[in-house]
Amino acid sequence: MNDLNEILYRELELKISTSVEGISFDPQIFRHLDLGGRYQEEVHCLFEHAYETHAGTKFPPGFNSPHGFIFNLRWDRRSSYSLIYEKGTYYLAHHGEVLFPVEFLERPKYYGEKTSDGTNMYNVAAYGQYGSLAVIYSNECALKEKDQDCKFCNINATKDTYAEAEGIGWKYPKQIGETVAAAYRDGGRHVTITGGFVAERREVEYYLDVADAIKEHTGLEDFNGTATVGAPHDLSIIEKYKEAGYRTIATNIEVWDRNIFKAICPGKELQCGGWDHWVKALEHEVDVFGKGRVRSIIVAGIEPKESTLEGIEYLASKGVIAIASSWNPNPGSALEGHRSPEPAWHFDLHKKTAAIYRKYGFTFDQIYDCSAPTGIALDIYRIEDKVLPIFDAQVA
Amino acid sequence: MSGLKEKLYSELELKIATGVDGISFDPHIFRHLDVAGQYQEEIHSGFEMAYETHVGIKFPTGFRSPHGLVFVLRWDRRSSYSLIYDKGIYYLTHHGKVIFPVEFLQRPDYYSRKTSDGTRMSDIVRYGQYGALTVCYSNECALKEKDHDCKFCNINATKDTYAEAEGLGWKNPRQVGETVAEAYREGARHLTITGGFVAERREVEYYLDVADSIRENTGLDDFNGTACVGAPHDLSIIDKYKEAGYRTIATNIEIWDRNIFKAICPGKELQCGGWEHWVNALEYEVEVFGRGKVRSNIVAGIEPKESTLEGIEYLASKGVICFASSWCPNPGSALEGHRSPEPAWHYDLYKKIAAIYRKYGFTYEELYDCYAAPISIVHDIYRIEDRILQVIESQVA
Repeated sequence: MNDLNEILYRELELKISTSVEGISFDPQIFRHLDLGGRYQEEVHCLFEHAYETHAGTKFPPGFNSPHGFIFNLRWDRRSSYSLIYEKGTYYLAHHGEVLFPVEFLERPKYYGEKTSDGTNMYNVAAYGQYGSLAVIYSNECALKEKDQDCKFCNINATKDTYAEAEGIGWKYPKQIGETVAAAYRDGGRHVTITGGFVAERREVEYYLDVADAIKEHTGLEDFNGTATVGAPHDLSIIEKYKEAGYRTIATNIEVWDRNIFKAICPGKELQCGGWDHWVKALEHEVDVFGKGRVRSIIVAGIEPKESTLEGIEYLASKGVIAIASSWNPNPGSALEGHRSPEPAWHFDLHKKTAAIYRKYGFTFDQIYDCSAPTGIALDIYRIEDKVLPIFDAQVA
Repeated sequence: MSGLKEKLYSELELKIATGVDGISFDPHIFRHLDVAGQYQEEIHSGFEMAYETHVGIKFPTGFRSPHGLVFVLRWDRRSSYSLIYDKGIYYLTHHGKVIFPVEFLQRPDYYSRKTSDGTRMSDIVRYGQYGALTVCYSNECALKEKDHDCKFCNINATKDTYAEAEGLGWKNPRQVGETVAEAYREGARHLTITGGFVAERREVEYYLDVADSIRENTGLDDFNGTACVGAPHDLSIIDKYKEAGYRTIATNIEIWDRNIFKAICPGKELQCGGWEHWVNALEYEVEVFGRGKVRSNIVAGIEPKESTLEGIEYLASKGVICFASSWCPNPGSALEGHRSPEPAWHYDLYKKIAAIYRKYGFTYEELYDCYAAPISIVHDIYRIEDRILQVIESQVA
């Protein structure tokens, strides 16, 4: 490994560590930062990832590291990592020792715009960096009605804490179409539509209406959209998403071990056909959308690593890009108070995941087109494929 | 809550925190301590509980807090808790600030004796404090043959690391009988026989022979023994343990959620009848041994807390005292690299467990009689609430 690669992998390890362990800071530290003006603010449209809630106090969602990685900012006052502010500059520190100055993420232009019905666009589509948007159409999950929420999930608790304070609610197709069009004019190039389960699984009509609205407002037939959906009971419904114009589809299995799945995802088990059906749905999605056009997330750290890797490899062999997303036991989830595995555990998992993707021939663009573009596996691709800006600077 | 009680509970919280997060120290710090002389040394006859292995370097097994709680010493260099040595005294610190001076545990006399065949008694029977002994008759588990070890368990890895270095092996009944007799002469009053699964589940004959040997050597018909066994396929075998003279029996279910059990305990699921059979075995054990005379254990922190509590309550309602022991992801286990929940999570769990035990009428003596190490957090809660800690007695005096 050359020196630059070594430096980049060290920075990536730090990205994992600060995400898993969080970063400590005084919540008032951002009074010096033009949050919601020059810099992007966090919008709680889905999950609170911080260790504590902080309704009424805005945080930035992340920052750039010196070599061009995008770090999430996950607040945890107990962490040995911290943010400090000194003479106009924010620094990331470890045990009080400065690691590097941080550059917060610029707010996208569309965050300052409103839809025709007066809704703030930042409440309609969250900006996920690298031109990628996420629309969380529903910030609640109907599985709670039978007390069958996934045990790691805090979508309903997040709604209870933040929805009113931040003015977040259901998003209408027209609002989404207008917002995505505005974002795409600013350079946006991928959108994920996702959200909690809706009652009676009526989401398909909604997704089709949203696709129509996006196509109408952007003028694009292929708007590079990912429809994140629960496995439908009738698998033939999957074709409708394809016909509607979504380029990719995502169905999150969350846990690969079928027994742990039953325990951790009782709603998906009892109301949505169970683990076998979810795997079948993913395989059918590949039939419809093609290899490398289907994504699934596993929450990494709940089950043994070998099980997660077995799932990623199995699904990859079928053409599904399974993303391991580090588990952060969240406030309000049933597993609050548990702890995610050590950062080194996650780093090893992400390296092995990236190797599996290579083995099955998944490209950077395929992963980009179906997942959050700040994921660790994509960062590994950025290093190995030399697509970070730092490589251009070196060549120049 | 009285001032003393408050202090005791805050010391108990600290005991949980140092148990879960470990304690950092330079492994050579004990060169000033007469470990394996005046002070009891750790023997790796079951599991390595430290975050790292430390073969060849003896650690003390634990220490006493100022108010008399027995803390385990779980080494973890990453912990914010540490042990320091200053001018002849060892101190527990947090983030470098001294919390209190520690008093390491005295070595029992029998540790320096040998059995008639020349084996060190310290390698036969581990001293677990308060007069309780543990015999790990087999320091390996046959479930590994089919790669079915419990995912949290490192018994086989511990054997690979320490058995040769510490001279640990299979304990024969005569060695056990002689050692127990010696320890009982010194004041011990409870014994647990446990170990990994043996091939073809031939353990019952061994347990009966051990019981005979203990009775012969101690002269006691009721030697207050706990037979810790896997659920036998044929439940009628349970009667034999009772007939052999064990006062209590223990069958560790490990995980209450039946689905997570399948994933985490594949050997118990696939080779030993599965979760329902384990529950049936526990219920049958109550029929044979009586309420409060059967123990189980759940490894706390792998499954959601509500599931663990559901299991403890269900089993308590059937007469089983089900303990929870804080999961410490161990070196060599399949879950190495995972982390146990926060100390506050465990503390809350223990308080709720103690309340369940009270609700079902379990007494301190019943808890004592069925658990290998009577230094568990729930034992401590009973000691505090029943005012049977020495510090409380001295207050009264």
